[in-house]
Amino acid sequence: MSWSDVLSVFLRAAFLSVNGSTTLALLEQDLVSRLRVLSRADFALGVAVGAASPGPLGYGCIAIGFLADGWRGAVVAVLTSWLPAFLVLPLRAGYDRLASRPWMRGLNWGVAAAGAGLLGALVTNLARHSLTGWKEGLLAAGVLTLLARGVPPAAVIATAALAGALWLR
Amino acid sequence: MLFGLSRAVPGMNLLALTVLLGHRTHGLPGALLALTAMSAPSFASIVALCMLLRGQDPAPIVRGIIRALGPTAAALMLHAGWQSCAGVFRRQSRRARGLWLLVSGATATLAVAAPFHPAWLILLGASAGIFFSSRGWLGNRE
Repeated sequence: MSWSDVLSVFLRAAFLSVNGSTTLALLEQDLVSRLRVLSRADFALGVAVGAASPGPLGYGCIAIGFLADGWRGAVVAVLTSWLPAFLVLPLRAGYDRLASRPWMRGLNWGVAAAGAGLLGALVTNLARHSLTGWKEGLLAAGVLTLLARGVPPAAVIATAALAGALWLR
Repeated sequence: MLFGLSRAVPGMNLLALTVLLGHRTHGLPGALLALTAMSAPSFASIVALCMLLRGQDPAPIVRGIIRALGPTAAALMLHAGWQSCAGVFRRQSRRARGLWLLVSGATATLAVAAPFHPAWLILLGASAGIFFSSRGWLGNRE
């Protein structure tokens, strides 16, 4: 990947997302579906590694950056993810006035709804690629059940990894 | 107010909250230091795990782990999506919920089936939101 590709992909994912999950959904669209520099298996590995590590779920972008472009990708991923956060500083002064404007509420609503759609596309793509048999389906159902019961994601991923090591090798 | 503000900017909400808290205590250096301190453990553990799991010829046990991570990632993202949407969805009126399903469903279909760049899909969603809001269709649940 060229510098401009790396920068544009991660800047877009950072500035067009509404939370960590949509950052990952945007990265999947760019790196897996459009540029094809990352396989779906590697993307899934990145998401799971990010979720198993400390910090926000969206930090899976560091793993995805590393898997797509080595150290440069990882460093660009983390630094670009910081940039939109600094928008809160100038926004503080006019936040109350701006947040009450109908068009602003509409904009936030629309971006969040589209983000949810992109997340739906990401889940569809990941499931289509990875649910290749009944064992994988059972594993996904087990993971969902544990998450819904409030088990911490790191513990769920460790359990899934153990199941994979014993059952799917 | 800090939490609401952190949700108003793009990207990860936790990072915006970290910037606000760091800036409140020590200005811009405080914000940078807070982000660095929060991110360093993540960065180190993520890169180490990636190097460990992504070998050229992984052992069968590692292959099994990698195979398990696909379904796990799909389930994780489904759960994260549900968590982030459920609250927003519940607070909306019936009409706004229907419109939400329409916009997110259309976005998902276009993203899966057609070669649209996601930036256009986000822009489309934002335009739809502004339009619906101008018609008064996005009122909160009474």
